Amino acid sequence: MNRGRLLEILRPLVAVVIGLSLGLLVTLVAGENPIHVLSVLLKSAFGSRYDFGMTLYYATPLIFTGLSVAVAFHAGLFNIGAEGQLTLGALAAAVLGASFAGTPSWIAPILATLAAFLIGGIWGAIPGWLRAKRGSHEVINTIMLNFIAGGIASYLTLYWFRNLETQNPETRPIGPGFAISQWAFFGGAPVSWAFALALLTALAVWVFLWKTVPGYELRAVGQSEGAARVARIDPAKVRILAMAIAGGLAGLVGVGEVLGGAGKFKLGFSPDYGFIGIAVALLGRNRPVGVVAAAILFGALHKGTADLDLETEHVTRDISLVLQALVILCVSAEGLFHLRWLRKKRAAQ
Amino acid sequence: MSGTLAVELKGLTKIFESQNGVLAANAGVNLRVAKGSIHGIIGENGAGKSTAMKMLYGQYTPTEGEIWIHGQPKHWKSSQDAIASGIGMVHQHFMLAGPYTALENILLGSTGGAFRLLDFVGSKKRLEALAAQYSLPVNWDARIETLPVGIQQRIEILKLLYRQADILILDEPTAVLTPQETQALFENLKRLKNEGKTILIVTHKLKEVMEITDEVTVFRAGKVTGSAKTAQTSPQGLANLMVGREVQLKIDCGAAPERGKPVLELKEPSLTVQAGEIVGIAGVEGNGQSEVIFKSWEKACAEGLRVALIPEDRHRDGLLLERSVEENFLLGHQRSPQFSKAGWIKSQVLKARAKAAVEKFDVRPRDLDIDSGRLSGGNQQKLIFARELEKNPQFIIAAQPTRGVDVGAIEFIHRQILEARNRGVGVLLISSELDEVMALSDRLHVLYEGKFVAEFKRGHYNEQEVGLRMGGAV
Repeated sequence: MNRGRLLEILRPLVAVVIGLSLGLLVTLVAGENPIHVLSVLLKSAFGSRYDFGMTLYYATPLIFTGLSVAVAFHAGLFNIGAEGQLTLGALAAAVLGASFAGTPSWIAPILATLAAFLIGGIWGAIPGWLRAKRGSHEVINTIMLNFIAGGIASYLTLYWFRNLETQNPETRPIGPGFAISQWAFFGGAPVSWAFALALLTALAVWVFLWKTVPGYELRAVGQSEGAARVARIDPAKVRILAMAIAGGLAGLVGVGEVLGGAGKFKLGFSPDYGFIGIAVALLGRNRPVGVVAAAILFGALHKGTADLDLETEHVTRDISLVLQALVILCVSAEGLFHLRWLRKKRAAQ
Repeated sequence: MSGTLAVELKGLTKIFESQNGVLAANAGVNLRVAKGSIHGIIGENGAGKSTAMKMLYGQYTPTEGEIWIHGQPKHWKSSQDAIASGIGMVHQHFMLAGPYTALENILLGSTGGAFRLLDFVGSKKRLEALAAQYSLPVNWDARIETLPVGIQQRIEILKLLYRQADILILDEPTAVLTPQETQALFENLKRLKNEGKTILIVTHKLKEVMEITDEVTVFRAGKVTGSAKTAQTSPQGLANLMVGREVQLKIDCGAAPERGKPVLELKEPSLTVQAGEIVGIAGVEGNGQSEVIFKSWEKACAEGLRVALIPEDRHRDGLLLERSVEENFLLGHQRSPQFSKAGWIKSQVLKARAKAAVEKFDVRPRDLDIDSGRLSGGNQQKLIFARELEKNPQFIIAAQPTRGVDVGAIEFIHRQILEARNRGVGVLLISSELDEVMALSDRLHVLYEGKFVAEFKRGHYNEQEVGLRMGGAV
C-alpha cells in the first residue's frame, strides 16, 4: 500500500479520534471521569453478544443510507433525500405486508424488499429527473421532498392503515409470512437477515460501480460531464438512474426496520438515518467497504451513547447526543477538508 | 557586472509538498537578466518557467535561494512587495474586469483608504501622458469587454507602467494574438526596451524568441539547462535544449494520398472534408471554432461514421482527471463489443489493450493506475490520441491538438495526424497555431466571427495574407 492510500484510511480515523476526545472532554466538564465514560461506551457497544447485536442492528440502516449517498455522489449528485426515500420505502413494505397478510413466507419478504426498493427508487428518481431535465438543483429538491414524504407517510399511516389496537401512530402489523427471522446468536438483539442483505447490497454496489458499463458511465458523468458527452453518454439518463438507485438503496432501510424489527411502520422511527448516512458516506470515502465500516462505527456510537444515560451519573441523554454530534462534526469537517484538498490538487494541475 | 543586472536569481528552489510526496518545481535556478534587455524564458510545460516567474513576482516564496533586483537582495511576502520594487506581470489570462472601463480597471488596484475618492480626472491625464510617451493609444472610456485582445494587452502593460514597473514579465503574450497584433506588440516592446525597461517573455514559440529577444534562458525539468545570447543560438539548438534530445522541427508531409469520398459535409458554415485529406481551420480563438467542432462531430456521428475527437479543452471534455489511465482509455469504448459484453466490462481485454496502446503511443509513465490528471499535458494528449485512434476512425476532428503540449510530443502528434491521413482518414484540424495549420493542412479555411472568410490551397499559403484574414481584414 502506498503512502496516499494509507493516509486515505488514516485521516478519517484520526477525525473520529479527535471527535471522540472532544466529546469526552465535554463529559469531563459535566463532571464525569472520561476514562469511565469511554469504558462504558466500549462495553455498551461491544461488551456482549447482545450489545454487539444492537450495534449491528443500528448499523444496518446506516449501511443502506450511506450507500445511497455514495452512489449519488459518484454521479456528482448530493442526495440529501435519503430520509424521505427511506420513509416511503419502509411504509411501502409495511403497507404491502399489512394488506396482503396471507402471503406465504417463501415469497413475502422478497416482495416487500422489492416494494421498498421500488418506492424509494421512484422517490429518488423525481429529483433526479428534475435535475436532469429541468436543471433544478437536487439538494433543494431532495430536502423539500423529505417534507412531502413525511406528510404522505403521516397521512397514510393515520388515515388509511392505522393500527386501531394501539394509541401509537403506526400501521397495522405485517402478516407473519413477511417477518424475517432475527439471529438467535445475538441473544435477543433484533439483528436479522437484513444485516446480511446490507452487506450483500454493499458488494452489489461495488460490482455495479466498478465492473459494469452503466456503473462506469455513472462515475464518468460524476467526474466530467463534458468528457462523458464526448463518449456518447447521456448525462440526463445517468443522473436519473443514479438518483433512482440511491432512492432504492435508502428505501431498503425498511427491510430491517419493518420486516426484521418492529413488524410495522412507526411514524418517526428513523432518528435521521438519512442524514447520518451523509456522514457515513463521507467517513467511508464513498466506497462500499468504507461505508460498511463507517456504519458499524456509527452504530457502535449510537448504541454506546444510548447507555451512557443509565450507566453514568452526570452524562444525560443530551450530553450523549452532543458527544455523537461532535464525532459526526469532526468527520464531516475532515471530509470537507478532503474535498478542498482535492480541488486544490485539481487547480494546481 | 552586477550593476547592470536588473534581475538575478541565485540558486532558486521551490519545493511543493503534497500527500503524494514532494515535488521540486524549481531546483537551483540561476537567471541573470541585463537591465534594458528583452529576455526570453523558454521551456516545455512543467519545466518550471511559471514557478520561477511566480517567485520573482512574489506569488510564491522560494524554499531556497535568493532574488536580487538591481543589485539588492529581496525578500517578498506577497506580490504587493514585488510590485513596490518595480516588478509587473502580464498574465496569460488578463486580469481585467470586463464590464468596467479601461480607466476603472487601472484604478482598481490602486492603493488608498476606504474613504478616499478615486481621482478619475487626474489619473486619466497621467495615463494619457504615459500612453503618449510610449505610443500606446487607448480609449480610456471604453468598456474592456468591447475591446480587442491586442488592446486589452496594451492596457495591461500600461497598468504596469502606471504603477512604475520597470521590470515587466509577460506570460505567453502572443497566445491570443493574430500575427499582425503580435508584430504590433513586438514593436511596442522594443520601444519600451529603448526607454530602459527590462522585459522577460515566457513563451514556447521559438520563432518569437529568435525575433524579439536579446538573450534567452532555457528551462527543463525544474532546472536551467542553458542560457545564451539569442544571436548566437538557433531554433534547432534551443529545441534540443528544451527537450533534452534531438528534435525534428520541420514537418515532412509527404505526398497526399488519393482523396476519397467526403466524410463531412456541413452546410452552415459550408465545409467539406474528404477521406485522405487534412482540412485546416485557422482563426483567432473564440471566432466560432467550438461551434464548427460541435457541428462536425454531431453530423459525422449521426451518419454513423467512426469519429475520433480530440477536444479543444482536454481537461473539460477529454479526460476524467481523477480516474486512472486505464479507465480513461475505456471512455467512449465502454459500449463497444470489444470492451464489454452484456453490460459487463471485459477487464482483462481492457487492461491488455490499454497496456499496448500506452506502449505504442509512448504515454509516460507507463502506469495504467495513475490518475490521468497527474500526467503532463503532452502525455495526456497522447493518451487521448491512443484512445481515439483505437476506434479505427474514418474521420478525425483534432482541435488544438498541441495546445499546452511539449515540443517532443508535438512532433509525435503531428506524425500521428499525417499517418492517419496517409491511411485514407479524413482529418479536420482546428488550431490557433498558424504555423501548425499551415504546415499540416492540405487545404486551409480562415474562420472569422463564425464564418469562413477565405480558403487557401497547399502551396499558396501566405502568413501575411492568412493573418490579415484572421484579423477580419477583407
